[in-house]
Amino acid sequence: MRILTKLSSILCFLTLLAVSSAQAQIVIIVHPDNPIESLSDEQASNLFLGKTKTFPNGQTAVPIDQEPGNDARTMFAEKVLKRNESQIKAYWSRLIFTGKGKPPKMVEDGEEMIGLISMNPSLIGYVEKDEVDDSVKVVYTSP
Amino acid sequence: MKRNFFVSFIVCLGLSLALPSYGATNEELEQDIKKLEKQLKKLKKKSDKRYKKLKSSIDELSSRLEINGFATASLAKADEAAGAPNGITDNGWSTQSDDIMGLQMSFMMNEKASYTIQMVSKHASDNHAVRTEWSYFAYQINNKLRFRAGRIRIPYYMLSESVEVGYSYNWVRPPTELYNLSSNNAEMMDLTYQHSFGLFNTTSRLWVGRQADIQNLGGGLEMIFTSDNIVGFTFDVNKGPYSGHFGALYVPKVSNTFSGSEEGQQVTALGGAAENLLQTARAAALDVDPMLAAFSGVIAAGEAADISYSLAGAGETTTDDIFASVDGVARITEGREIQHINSETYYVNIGGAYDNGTLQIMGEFTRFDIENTLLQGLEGGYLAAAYRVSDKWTPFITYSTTRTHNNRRERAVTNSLTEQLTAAYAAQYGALVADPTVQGIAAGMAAATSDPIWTPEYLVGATAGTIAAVTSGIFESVVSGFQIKSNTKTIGVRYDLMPGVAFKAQLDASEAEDGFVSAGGLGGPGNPDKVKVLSFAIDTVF
Repeated sequence: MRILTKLSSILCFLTLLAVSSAQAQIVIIVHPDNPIESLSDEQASNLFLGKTKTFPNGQTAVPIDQEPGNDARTMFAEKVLKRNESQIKAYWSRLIFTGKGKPPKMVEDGEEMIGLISMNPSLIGYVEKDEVDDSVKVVYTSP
Repeated sequence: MKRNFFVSFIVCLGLSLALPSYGATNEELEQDIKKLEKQLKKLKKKSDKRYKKLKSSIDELSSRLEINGFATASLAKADEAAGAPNGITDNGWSTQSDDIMGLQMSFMMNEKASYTIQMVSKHASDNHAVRTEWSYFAYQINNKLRFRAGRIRIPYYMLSESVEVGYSYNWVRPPTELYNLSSNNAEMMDLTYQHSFGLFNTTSRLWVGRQADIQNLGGGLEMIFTSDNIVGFTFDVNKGPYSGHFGALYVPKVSNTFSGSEEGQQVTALGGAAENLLQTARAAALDVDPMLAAFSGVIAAGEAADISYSLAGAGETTTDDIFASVDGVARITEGREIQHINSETYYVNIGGAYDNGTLQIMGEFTRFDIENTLLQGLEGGYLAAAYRVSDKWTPFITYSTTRTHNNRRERAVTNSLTEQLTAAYAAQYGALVADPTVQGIAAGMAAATSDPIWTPEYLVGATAGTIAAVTSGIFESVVSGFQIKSNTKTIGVRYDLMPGVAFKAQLDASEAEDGFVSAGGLGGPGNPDKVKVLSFAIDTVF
């Protein structure tokens, strides 16, 4: 009986964990003055993988990444870039050593990201949904 | 009790006497300390300033200078002594076959201009020598246009430029049916245009270049080849998981300068065969002239019959070219230099890939033509599939194949030439049998061996047989020596230990089809037709 209670509590905890991690969302953010209202995950992916250097309206876009190991980065990679960290590394290594491109500049965390994005209309970045504030504009929310 | 009081009184007195003087020193000290603190603050400010300055200049430098590297450590073994790539044999584990180390430094002069140098050391082909494989200036004109000039990899195939960065693909090595060119770099200028049509991202690149390289052919033989005014174009398109590639390049002229040493004498089977032919004739004490006349007869007959055939699809090669080539090879063995000028070379390459992050399918087809030479055009390609079963494991399979053009036609020509040579020799047969020298040798041999088999007919017939066989061998090695038709089946797995480090295992089964050879040395006399290669690699990028 005791074991069962213990098990059910563990299960309950695991379920909670699963639900909470499933609910964690990523938002892509730009400066409030940026005329872009929304981006698709494919458009965002093109920008962050260096396949295009401009927003859909033709304006220059400079993507900003978060450092490896950050939850936001892992989620962004999985949900938007649809690659894991190794695949991203392989992707960029092909471009770096052929002179075709280099990965975006990185910031330490969501706070620094928001600070940076709120200062420059050319920048585009991402944070976890609960980190976002009024100083930036959300153009994409992950499922 | 009393005594105790007395002692404490004395101590108190002593202290009260001592204290005023101590108090004065304290004030001075405090002032000193304040002074020192001020100085320290000043110093700290100064050093902070210095530190900040230093830090910002280091930051600036580090953001301007980028250093990246890649390395592959490998282990491989074949089940045959020959036919495997990169010098892999059945003689123990090869620890250097695919080893490679690369270091790239990129210095940003400003936001638009940069200079990049990449130095690579390859163990298998180059004995640890470090070579500057890339060295170029790049200028980003605007968001879409970029100009580069310097030493840059030639984009022969879809993955040519990144072929050395093992971490960027799943294989231990890309299909050697295609990726076996050892000379890949050119001094070039290129202009790249990147443009997106909605979600379609395109990259077009136009380049012109010049290539000069020395290839060590082994046995003291070297080939220096140069090609000027190479023009190339590539077009890449991508949308989501789909991508396509088209590449073409045109080389107006390739010139190969061979240089050999005395040790190179044994290198060429062809030279040996020619030597054999003459020795056989001399051993039989035959006058070589009729034989050479027979050759000339064949050449004349060939020309009269207008026997000329295409080796590369478009250019016409005459029988003269074959003999010129035999002559050329013979000259190499004599340690001279020859210069062989080919005419135009074309490469066309089409590739495609699907990669949704879990399933990857990739294929490529390429064809190249060289006109007016004994070197033949090639066509080949591969189809590869990989499936990421977990975060770490990605098994993959590949089928690749390559072949020279027009094999059947060339074979018919070889047979016809051998037949005609035999016929031409037979035409001289009667005259040779009646020749007093031949009759004398036959009589001498019969007397010496007491064997009545030694008649003039036998002597001439045996020599004719030898000559036909050797001649046929020469033609075979001239033409079939370049006849390639081979394939490789590959199965393997990539294991991502951590981002930046991947472990790979791969099994290749290669075969040269019946009567053909492979570029890697399968098929042909004395060589195996099939080879299996087991390879392991650890690939890193940093």
